[in-house]
Amino acid sequence: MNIATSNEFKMPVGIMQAPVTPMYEDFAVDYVTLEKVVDFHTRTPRNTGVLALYNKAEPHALTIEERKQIAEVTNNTVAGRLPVIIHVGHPSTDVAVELAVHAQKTGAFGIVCITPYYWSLTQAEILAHFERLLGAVDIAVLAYNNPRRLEAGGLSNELLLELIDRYPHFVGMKDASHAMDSFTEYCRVLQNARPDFAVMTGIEYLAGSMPVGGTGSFSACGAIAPTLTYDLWDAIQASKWDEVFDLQHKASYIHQQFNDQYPSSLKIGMELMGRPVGPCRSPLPTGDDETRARVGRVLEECGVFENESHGW
Amino acid sequence: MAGEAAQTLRPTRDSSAIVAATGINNGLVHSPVTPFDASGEIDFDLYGKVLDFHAAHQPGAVAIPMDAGERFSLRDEERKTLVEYAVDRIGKTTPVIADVTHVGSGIAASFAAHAQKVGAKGVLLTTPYFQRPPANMMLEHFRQIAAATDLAVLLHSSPRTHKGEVRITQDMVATLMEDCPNIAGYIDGEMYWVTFTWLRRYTLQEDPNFLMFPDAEYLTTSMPIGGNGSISPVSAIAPKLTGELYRACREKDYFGARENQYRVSQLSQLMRNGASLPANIKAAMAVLGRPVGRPRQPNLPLPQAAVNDLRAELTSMNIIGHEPEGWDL
Repeated sequence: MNIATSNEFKMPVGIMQAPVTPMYEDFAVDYVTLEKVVDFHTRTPRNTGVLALYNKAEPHALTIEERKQIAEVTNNTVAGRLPVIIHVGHPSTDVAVELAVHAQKTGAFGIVCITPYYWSLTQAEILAHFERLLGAVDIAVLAYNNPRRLEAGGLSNELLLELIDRYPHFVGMKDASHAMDSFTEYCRVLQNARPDFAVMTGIEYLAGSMPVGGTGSFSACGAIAPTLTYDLWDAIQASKWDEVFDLQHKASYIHQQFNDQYPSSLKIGMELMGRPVGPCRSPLPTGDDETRARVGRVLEECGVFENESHGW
Repeated sequence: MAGEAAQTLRPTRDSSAIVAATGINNGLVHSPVTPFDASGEIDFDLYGKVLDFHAAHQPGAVAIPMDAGERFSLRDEERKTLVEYAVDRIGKTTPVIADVTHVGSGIAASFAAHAQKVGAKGVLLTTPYFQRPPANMMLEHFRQIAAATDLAVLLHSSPRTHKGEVRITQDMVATLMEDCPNIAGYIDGEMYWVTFTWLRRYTLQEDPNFLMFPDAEYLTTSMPIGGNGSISPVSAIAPKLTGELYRACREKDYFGARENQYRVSQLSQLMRNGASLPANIKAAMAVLGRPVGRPRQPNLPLPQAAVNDLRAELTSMNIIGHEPEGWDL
């Protein structure tokens, strides 16, 4: 099997930005600020796309109608400047399909869908879930693999190969296993079947993933330090490995700080960078003064205030 | 190696002397199998050939016995004898790292003391299997073993092979680095970029000579972020391939190493499918003209049909034809 993806569905190579969901103090979605966030990411130099409703956007604390509205606002704000991908993951296949169909109607380039969380599923059940999604839309579709967090477990290469074989618009996967061995095997096996199949990491762990065939990442740090993330990308492309080492460790150190109370601490970081986006919805905590002080220290230490743009 | 970047951090400890004393001169640490004769006893004549074969490919060290050497199917005295034999046989040219893993702290400590006495260059210690000790007792376990020897101690975290995901956390590494000056490295069995990168940054900041390896040959994925090499069980089958991969990564030709990394990854996965790691490696060695007997129970040898499939896989992967066959080098 060696199947090329048609240009219509081909995923861009690089780092894509994923907006958070801004909220008012009463936790209602702040669509005005959402437009600012999306526009900020869209104008970020070297960005290759916008992923709406990624996990850091708290999609699981949003109503279905809110998710649809955020998808629409994101598409309208990007306005064709970059490809837009909508995350449609949900424990219910019916709801995920409904969100996927809606995403296509908004004009999105594609959708990404996490394996149904909460349920403990067989590979056959996961396959059936993705078959429904792929049968419901004819835009680009990516699978989102997160075996560390989900009872459903990981996506097998056999399952993914079957989807590649049957669906020309199944164009890639986001692998949040962040495991060196399984990521290598995904690239080796899946890109042998389809050389331009996109295998992306969930966060900017690029130094170890690009050499084995990684095609980029969705961004965790891009709302705070976009220049750093794209400098890392460029250094890898140029095989400047000493620079890569420094930049990768700096990016991962910043990510380590956000990992605690994610995305609350990320939202605090955005506020410190002059881009306030409000609190997080319960059960996620909203960052407190201690978080603000800790994140501020790290951004100072890493030169983020000095090297990255402030405000919108 | 981390290169200049490590220099920008501020070290608080220095393990350079103890790491240098291991004699590890490159980062590819082979882990040989243990051959058994027809009665199930260790076949030392054959073990000598195994060790000579590995030493001839100039690994950074050999680690004995580990999973490939069926460590948990060996009696305590056998484990000591294996280390002693290996030091006598190849110790002048190849550093021997003694795997002293045991669920009992006292027994593991006795292995560590013995390793030093017989001339091993370091010890390696996996998280205690089966038991799920609380963090303070895990720390005590490692402290007791580190105190039993002056050799470098390499910690091995292997949460994937322990139900309950017993792992050595970054906080535990930090505590042990502070408490035990001879703890000089960390072997990562999780191969999770997030924690590997965080821990690499931390350990380099504290001690630029501190070693970090994944416990399988995922080199292009770990060396760009400061990994020093890897434990290498599949070097028993494909020492040329793993050596080429390691050398390319040491030269930082990470993109150029992709195809070899793919082949090594495919082989590594093949050796973990359908049967135990030692059963698969022993079957592959027999296919390559280096028979080393059956694994000990509870691990069973591959049935003939599986051996035939394995031979076909090794042929299609160009292992047969590219790698040494037989014992002659």
